[in-house]
Amino acid sequence: MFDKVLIANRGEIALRIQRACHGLGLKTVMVYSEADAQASYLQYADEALCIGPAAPGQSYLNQQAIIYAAQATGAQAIHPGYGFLSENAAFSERVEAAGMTFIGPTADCIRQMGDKVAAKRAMRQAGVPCVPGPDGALPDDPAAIQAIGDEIGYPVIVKAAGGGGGRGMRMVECAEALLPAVSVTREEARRAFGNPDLYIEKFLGHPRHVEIQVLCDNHGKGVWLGSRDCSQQRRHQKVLEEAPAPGIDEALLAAVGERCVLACQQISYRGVGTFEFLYEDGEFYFIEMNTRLQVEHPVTELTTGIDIVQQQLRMALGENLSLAQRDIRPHGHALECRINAEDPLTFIPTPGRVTRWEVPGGMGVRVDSHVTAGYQVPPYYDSMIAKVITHGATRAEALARMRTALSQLRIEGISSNVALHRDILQDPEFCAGSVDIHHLERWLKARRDAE
Amino acid sequence: MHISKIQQLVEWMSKADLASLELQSAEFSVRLVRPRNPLASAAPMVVVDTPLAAASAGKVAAMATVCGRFLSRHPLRDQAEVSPGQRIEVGDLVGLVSVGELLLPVTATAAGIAGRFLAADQQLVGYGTPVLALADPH
Repeated sequence: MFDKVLIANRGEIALRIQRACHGLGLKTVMVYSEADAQASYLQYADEALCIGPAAPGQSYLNQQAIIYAAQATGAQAIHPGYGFLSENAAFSERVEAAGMTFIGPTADCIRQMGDKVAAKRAMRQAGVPCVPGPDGALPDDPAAIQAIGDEIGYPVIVKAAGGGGGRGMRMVECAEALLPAVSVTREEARRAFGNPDLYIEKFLGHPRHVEIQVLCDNHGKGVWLGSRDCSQQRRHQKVLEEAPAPGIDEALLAAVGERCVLACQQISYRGVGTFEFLYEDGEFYFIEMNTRLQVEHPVTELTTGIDIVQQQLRMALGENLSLAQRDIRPHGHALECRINAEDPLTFIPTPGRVTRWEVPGGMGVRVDSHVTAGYQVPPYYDSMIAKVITHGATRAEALARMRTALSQLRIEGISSNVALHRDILQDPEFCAGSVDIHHLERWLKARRDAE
Repeated sequence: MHISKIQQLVEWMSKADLASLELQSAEFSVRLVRPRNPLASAAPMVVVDTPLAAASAGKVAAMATVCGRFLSRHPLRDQAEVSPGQRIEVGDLVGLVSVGELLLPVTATAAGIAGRFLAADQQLVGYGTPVLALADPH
């Protein structure tokens, strides 16, 4: 049990978690780096403490400093948000060893899902559909590797077991290119992730990124909260997300969702999590599980009416899940545009002072942001400054509300990617629904070529 | 615990200016005792790069580097680690931060004459919270 939560994160998600805590009557401690000392959202916390210099390694990633801050303020739980320490098994362990609650799954779960080979094996056992390919690490024997590649059929993708989020992977188009690709990727994996294990899978040519949100208590009960489509990506970074994923057979989705809940029960998962899939030609293929709250959780909140962060806190408090699967009835459609402080054409981050900040409102419009006029966007962290989320009875209505909302979002002093979002919302293919994960890159290239 | 860790413990004790330290676990117990008033010159000189202190026009003699409760004196001592008017050097112990069962040293980041304490005893401090001022030379 706890009544005071330390929020080990910054920006919009720190504010989002703070609101959820206060909604449940929990006190909050926000920790911040020197670069964030002037941020106005800190005033909403019951206590705010500086834990280190701007560099993330000395502040938001500094496990010792965060644990000291919790002990000094008497916080009995730590919410890691997303990014930073949210999927760090060692941190989860340290927090629990210090007698506090880590608001997330156990270290064992984080570790198992962080190892992509172990995760895939666990998913296969629970009947979650996976990308064709063996669910074990690649052997060292070149002939054996070649045989696995031939059996799957080309093209294949070579991935690092310790990778994820688009890092540590290489596509291979033909049999001759396999062994050189394996040796290069193995070396990269050894250096980048400290784990040289690789695995290979069938390469899908035009998949969509579809994910399923789950919510589990600590007593073996879980539900899935519908789907999200996050196919609009640039360099493996999500740009625009929506819920539900358009045009997917409901019975198929329900079957996969139930398997996700089953998988959670089998690995004793607790809290919120997301199963990420590639979806191509009517089939789902598991790619990875994120063992944390995600940036795009609000689109699911708007379609289900469930406050996911409050639920996450309730589960961490040890409550029994009060929702049954039949209570989850997604309605309407929601979109989220990630607003970044970056040049809309070159994508170079544009830190600096925000001189004007006016956000849209009205029916079905939600803005999650920590920014206010006069806010200084620091250069040290992720460039996201706001999430504009709209909801409508239909996808068309959500799109129309998003167009209006973005036209009324006024940011001056720094450049932002609002112009990019406005253009995407005029793209006929995106508006028709169900573009694949390469669509945005192709669209950007076509736009560059046209200039 | 490997015997080589003892040296680290001694260094920490020395840095925090502790008189004695006892450590017990299922496998071992260690008791270390230091003389009460070791020579001041024995304290290692620590040069800390602190842009924040520099930005404050040199008026801050020391700041906290971890979150906790500030203490101007060790709980087992009668007197504060430094008194106003006393000459201090960079790296001198000027107070402690108490967090959980730990006492962590706060050391001077500027040399000069100690001024007043900027943090009260038991005050919650964080990274960069000034705890001791330098006396105005004029």
